[in-house]
Amino acid sequence: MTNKEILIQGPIPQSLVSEIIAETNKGTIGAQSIFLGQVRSDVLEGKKVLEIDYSAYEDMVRTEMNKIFAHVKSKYNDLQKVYVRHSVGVVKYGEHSLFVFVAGGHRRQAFKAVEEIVDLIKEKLPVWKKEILEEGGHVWTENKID
Amino acid sequence: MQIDVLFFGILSEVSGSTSLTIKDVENIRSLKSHLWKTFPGIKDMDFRIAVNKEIVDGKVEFKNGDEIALLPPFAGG
Repeated sequence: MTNKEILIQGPIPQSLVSEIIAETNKGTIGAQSIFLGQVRSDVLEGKKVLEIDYSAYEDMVRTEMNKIFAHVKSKYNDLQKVYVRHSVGVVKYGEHSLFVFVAGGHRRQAFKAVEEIVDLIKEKLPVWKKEILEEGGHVWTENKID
Repeated sequence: MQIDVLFFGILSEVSGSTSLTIKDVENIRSLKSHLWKTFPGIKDMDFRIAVNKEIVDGKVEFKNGDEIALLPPFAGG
């Protein structure tokens, strides 16, 4: 599978994770590292979050993600595969909204690359979230550095 | 001379628009002045501006057909 379209409608299916693991079976790979972002049921304005409605500037997501891919591939020369999917639309709490997968020869670069890709996604991708609350109402939230 | 303006996140909710075409707006300053008059609710909101999908700062002169996006703070992941 390729990174032609990063955005996926609705939650990340768990089957996608196992498909990527299964197809990454070259004899030169010794490390696969994965990050899965999950929707929390935070309490905002005294109400529980039921789901998040993600929206994105899709054309700019493509250009920014290509910059991130180019950056990590030049910085981490041991990587052989980088794969990213981010949700748009509604994702319920407990479901996954971000999937980052890298594979390479050895573990060190795989660990570091996943962390850097997730940080860059949060900083650079034009994506917004509207947190839908129980009993109605919603809150627009923005990323913090943690 | 005309430009397309895109609204995202909370800005689309407050303005009630996702996009509009504006004529005879030549730079960021005149764009903001136009927006504040049309959508006073977004005047005090935090956002950056992208021209043709690249974030810009300060004084930028628009060209005919430019795509101007108003980007509230990002919240991906």
